[in-house]
Amino acid sequence: MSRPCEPLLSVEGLTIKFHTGAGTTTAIDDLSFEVRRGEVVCLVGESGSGKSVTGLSILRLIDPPGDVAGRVLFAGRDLLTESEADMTAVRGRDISMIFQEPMTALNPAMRVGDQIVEVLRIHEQVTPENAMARAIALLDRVGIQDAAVRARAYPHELSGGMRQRVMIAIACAAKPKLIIADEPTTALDVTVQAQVLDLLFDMQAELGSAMLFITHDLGVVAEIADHVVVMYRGRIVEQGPVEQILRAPRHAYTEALVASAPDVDAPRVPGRRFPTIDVTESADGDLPVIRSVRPEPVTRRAAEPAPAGETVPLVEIDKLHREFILRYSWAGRPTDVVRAVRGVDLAIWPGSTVALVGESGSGKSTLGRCVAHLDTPTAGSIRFDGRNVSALDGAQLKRFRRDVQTIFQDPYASLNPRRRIGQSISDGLAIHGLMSATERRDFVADLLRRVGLRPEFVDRYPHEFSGGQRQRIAIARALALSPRFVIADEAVSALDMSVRAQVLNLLADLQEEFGLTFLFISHDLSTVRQFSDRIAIMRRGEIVEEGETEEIFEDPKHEYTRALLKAVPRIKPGRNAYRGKGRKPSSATMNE
Amino acid sequence: MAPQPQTTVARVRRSNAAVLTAATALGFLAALSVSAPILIAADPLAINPSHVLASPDLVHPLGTDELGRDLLARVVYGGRVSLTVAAAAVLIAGTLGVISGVAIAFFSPRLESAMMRIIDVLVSLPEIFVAIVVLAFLGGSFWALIGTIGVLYFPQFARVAYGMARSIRARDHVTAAVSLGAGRLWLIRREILPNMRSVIAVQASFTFSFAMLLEAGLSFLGLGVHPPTPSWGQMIGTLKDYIFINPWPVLVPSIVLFAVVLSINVLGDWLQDRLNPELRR
Amino acid sequence: MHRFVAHRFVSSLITMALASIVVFLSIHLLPGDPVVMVLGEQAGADPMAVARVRAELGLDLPLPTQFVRWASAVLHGDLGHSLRSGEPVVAELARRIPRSLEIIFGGLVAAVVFGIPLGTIAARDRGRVSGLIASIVAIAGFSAPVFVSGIILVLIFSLWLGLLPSSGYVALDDDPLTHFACLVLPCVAIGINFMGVVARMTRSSLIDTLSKDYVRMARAKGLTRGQAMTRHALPNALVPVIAIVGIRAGNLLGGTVIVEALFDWPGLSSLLVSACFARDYPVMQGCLLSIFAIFIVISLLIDIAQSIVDPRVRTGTK
Repeated sequence: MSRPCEPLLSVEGLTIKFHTGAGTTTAIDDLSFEVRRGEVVCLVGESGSGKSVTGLSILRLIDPPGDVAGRVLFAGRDLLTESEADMTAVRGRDISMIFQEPMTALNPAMRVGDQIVEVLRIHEQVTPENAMARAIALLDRVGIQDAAVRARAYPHELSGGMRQRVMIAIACAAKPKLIIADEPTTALDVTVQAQVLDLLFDMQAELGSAMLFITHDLGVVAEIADHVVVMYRGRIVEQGPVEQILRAPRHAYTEALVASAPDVDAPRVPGRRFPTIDVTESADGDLPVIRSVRPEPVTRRAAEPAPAGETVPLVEIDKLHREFILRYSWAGRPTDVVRAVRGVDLAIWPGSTVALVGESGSGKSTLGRCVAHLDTPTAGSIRFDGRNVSALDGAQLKRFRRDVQTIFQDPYASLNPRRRIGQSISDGLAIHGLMSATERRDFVADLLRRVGLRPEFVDRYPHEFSGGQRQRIAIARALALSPRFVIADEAVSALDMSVRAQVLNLLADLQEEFGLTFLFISHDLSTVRQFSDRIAIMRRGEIVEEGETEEIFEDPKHEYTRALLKAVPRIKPGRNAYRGKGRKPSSATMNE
Repeated sequence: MAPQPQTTVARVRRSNAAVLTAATALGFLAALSVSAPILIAADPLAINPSHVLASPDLVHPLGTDELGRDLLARVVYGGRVSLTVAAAAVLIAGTLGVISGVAIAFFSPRLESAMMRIIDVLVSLPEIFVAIVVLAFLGGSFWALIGTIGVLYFPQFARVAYGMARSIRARDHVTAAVSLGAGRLWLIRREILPNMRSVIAVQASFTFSFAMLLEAGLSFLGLGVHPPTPSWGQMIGTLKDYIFINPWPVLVPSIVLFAVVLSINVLGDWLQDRLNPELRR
Repeated sequence: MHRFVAHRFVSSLITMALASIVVFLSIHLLPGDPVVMVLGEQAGADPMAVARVRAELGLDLPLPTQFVRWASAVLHGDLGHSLRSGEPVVAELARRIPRSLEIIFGGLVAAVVFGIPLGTIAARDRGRVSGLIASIVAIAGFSAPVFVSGIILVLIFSLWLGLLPSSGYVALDDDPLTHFACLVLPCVAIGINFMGVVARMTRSSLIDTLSKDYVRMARAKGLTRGQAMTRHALPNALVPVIAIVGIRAGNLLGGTVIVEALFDWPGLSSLLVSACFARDYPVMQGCLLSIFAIFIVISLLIDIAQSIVDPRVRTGTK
């Protein structure tokens, strides 16, 4: 597709600096790109690349100490030199914005209908009654049922997906020429994401607006973009049409980014490793230098883990239930009960990796906590190595604590900020009275080396490390007691794609080396395909389907599995799933 | 974030003038109180009927009170009482509060909500009324003041400590320690207490200023230490009756008290900003 | 909404009942014997007389029975008679309570009227001179003991400017103008400290709110900075401010003790202090009970105000 000629928005030499007491940091450095009428431009980058700041600066919403230079030409006017009064007329009417977090971007103390009415009344001469009638019509248009009733609801009374629909209604209310969408679906479940994207591009087509879409997800980019701008640390690495960027990237960074994005359609190759990015700053602070991209090196695992039936499972979960009682009546009877896990059966064989996949609220984390004996099931049993976990005490419980370890999602919360990382890693040894102090020190140094960190780091505090490094430290801590079973609860979800691949490779290597058994809890189907032997799909506290990984992907039996698979954004260039008429993937089958 | 020695120095240097002034003023006053018997020649109890309610002169740098006693000496000695009472009360309140708060969070899952309901009621009591009733019967004295004020402020500490203990316990690093096999005492000692240190420090600094105000208020009403031992509140309470004869004497303890409380609060704010960026969110 | 109010009302009644038990017990558990108060030291030595008075006052009955008798009398509006003057306690309280409420209300209004704008300026102009000045005024007010600000006010407005009376009380019916003139300084003295509390809370809450996406969203819609502040940031920022006003209402009540002593204002708190010194038990009980009642009513009003501002409070999803 050739680009339409007339640029609607033209950013030229945009530079944003933040002056603080500690000095000046340059968030955006000499950024130039164009958005043409009706076109979708994606700003892509990992965290810290400056893509959100760019979005805000176009609407001139960067507050001091931010210092914006360059030109932002919109329909021929330089927005950076307009008066504040003229800018208020541009914001919301000519250019509107959609924010990432549907939880925080709506005013919690204002009815959603009034929040839509507000935009209409700022930019148009309408009576309150007319404005409300149009707001209700808009809510109906964005797919909110009983719009007249829901208009009187407060944001906290709506689900995340509905809130994002309200955001879209607000953004589209004044029929803007350009919509800036800052990761609008990142906080949503994948099936809801599909519906919201569907709606967003439906509205965009209807209004004929252009869109600047900010995202870190190349799958989404492949499905929606016309033109892609790849950013790294405040600079443009390269830009071009979506087909070129995804099929024939010119810059090594883009190439690495595309290579490390997981492909949900690629069949599992046992022992295959994920391609990773290794970035070093060049000496003159110019664009990143890519040291090595390692796609699919040797198959290391000698053999598949023993298939089911030949040995005894390491973990056996039998009709497990976990209920949370939120409220009691006056008489002490539970009146508000959440049934997080409802009758789950699952077996995990030694040396294998089982992925537990589900959307938020499916009960997968609760199940993981029960297995790790960090939570007590309401009914049912968990047997680890033949022993009932709930009945463990004394020496047996101590043994269990050595055998089973957990790795958590948030690398910033999972390390004690007041303890040196060496202490954190050796805590398990101290608790169980293993080794002498000097032995522990050597052992920790070895472990650090093993997870790819320098042994000298042992006396540092967690805040001195990046997210990926912290996750390596957490892995080292989990391995210190030589466990047999590791539960990884969304252990890579908070990491950038390139770092994620490195950590997954590390986990695979360690599994090989120590013969570990993994329960890998994730919301993301695309990362688990290469990583796991078996997959269990969880929904509303129940496992709806369980089986060999390839079986699940190639021949899903349950409709929910199929819907989930279908909703994953594919990194297939030019698919443009959401563009044009009549193609509405996935939303038909799913309800929020 | 763990405070590192070198960065602490850098922070002090970068922090604003108000904090430095407050810290200097407090340090100066504390030093003066400690070394009062050596530095201050005048006797705070010596009466001079011929020289009452005087404005400053060479003999009495801050003037004299209604019995002709030297105000400089009385302010310094009064400061010893006021500061000691506040410090001791904070110590009692802090110790009792942290222990009970953490204990409720960790050892009484059944009684947790009932205990916290009681603590909530205690926190909401207007302290000064309880103190008046108790002190009216116990009789005001140094130790009665310390005990009463200490016990009155302990529920606030308990609530803060309980809240912190609960929220820290829910963090992943504590769960990780549990899954390593750590017992409750290990968790409290190495995971919970080190991470609530800064919040407790901030609470202590503000409680210190509240305790000073409460002590001054009670002494103002005549429920504090017995005359002739001076305390700031008591001096203000007595000297206010002579405001139309000479307004100077009553201003001396008033301004000192205000300056000290202000300094403590400035430092408390600074501490809060530095140590608990999460509280500002 | 109605359900929420009804629910809060019932729990207020329960708190009041608990408070009355505490008041009753505290008087009975504290050292000292009311009988000696009635009879005086001399007659108190006579065991016959003591037993007679004990029976008259019902003090020979078991504690729970005493409580039931006392509580039912209270419910009928009878709080006993002052041991000093022999007057009914209820009559004295009825005279005193409105006077204390005047000071509390005046102080609260002054604190809110000045505190919220002050906190707003401090938050909006953070890093600028105006913001710094607002912050300094707020922390100075917060740090000023009520009697220190009172004394300074007296010095300025009575002694030097001669505008307002330094102390005293004149009934509203006798001379409304003097009544209000006497009221100004006590209200301001108590309000200055509370203004500091309100301003600081407003500041920190508003700084927090201003960084929220929905405030940015409001500006992205095309609202001006000022509109985004008044329509979106302030209403949300005031929710915790209202809560803190409720929690600290005790300080405001406590401040009346000092203010009434400083300005010779014959209110509830000064009655309590004098009754404590005189061991006038029925008056003490009456005062404490009234203070608790005022406190509980303020808390109830605050909760209702909060539920009006914040929809999440009503539905209990916060």
